[in-house]
Amino acid sequence: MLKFSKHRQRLVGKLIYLSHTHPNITYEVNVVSQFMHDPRKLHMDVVEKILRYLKSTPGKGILFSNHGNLKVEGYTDADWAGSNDDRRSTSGYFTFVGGNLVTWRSKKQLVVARYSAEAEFRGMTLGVCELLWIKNVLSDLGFKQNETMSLYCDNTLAIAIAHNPVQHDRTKHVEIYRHFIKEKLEVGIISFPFVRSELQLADVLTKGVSSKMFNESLFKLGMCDIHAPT
Amino acid sequence: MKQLGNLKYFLGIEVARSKHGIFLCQRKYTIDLLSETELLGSKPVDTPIEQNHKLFQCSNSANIGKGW
Repeated sequence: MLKFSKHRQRLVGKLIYLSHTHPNITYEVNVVSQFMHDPRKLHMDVVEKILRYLKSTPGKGILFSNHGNLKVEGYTDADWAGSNDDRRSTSGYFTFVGGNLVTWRSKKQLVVARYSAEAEFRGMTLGVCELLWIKNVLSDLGFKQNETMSLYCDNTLAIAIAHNPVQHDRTKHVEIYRHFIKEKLEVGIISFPFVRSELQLADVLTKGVSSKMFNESLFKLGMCDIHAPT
Repeated sequence: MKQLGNLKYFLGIEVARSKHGIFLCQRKYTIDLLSETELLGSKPVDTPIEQNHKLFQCSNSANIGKGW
């Protein structure tokens, strides 16, 4: 049990700050933050685990390097009904510019999704908004993007619905999201390539994953430790 | 305005530059936090959360089971 019990919220606040260079703890920090109005031992145990993870790699950070392009792309994923308290889903995205990680987010959705594709859809919408914002920022900076931005997604049903509004019964209650996504697809701003689950980076933003998968994602996110002996 | 040279350390974020690129980390901030929480001597773990670990609100944990 952490001896720091008087300042539990402040401690989680520090972890939120630490996720600026540790995108891989974003999901865990997001989960514990949800319970900070009434932090108990079971929640602080998770906080302690995050700290013990950080202890294994305190010098890990993000490396931004020149990959010779300015391609904008993203990965999105959702964990359907992931919250045991209210059955809401968690979705997350990573966005990259020129192969470097720029923004990421893990968020518990505001409403309950009835189908996994629906949860994925809401997550995709957030990812699309983020990519559109990055496109705007880049164009303000004088780097106009004309290429289609890819948002990788591992749910074939959600991709299919985005392209062709079938399954009306299942998606009629998320029509605005569906039309928003379809509009961006049709003008060629965005595309949704399918990515196999095992190559899906954004998994680490929506649930606790195996250590093998976790470590693979670190590399792909451009995370490394320049202090580590090689 | 005074020119302070290349950015090295700002608000707990360390910045390093080399021919490989720009590297950002919060090494000192992390170590300070670990010493503040007296976890510097603790056993490190591989991942920050166990696979598929679920957290409950304390009051509900007794009456919500797995699944529906």
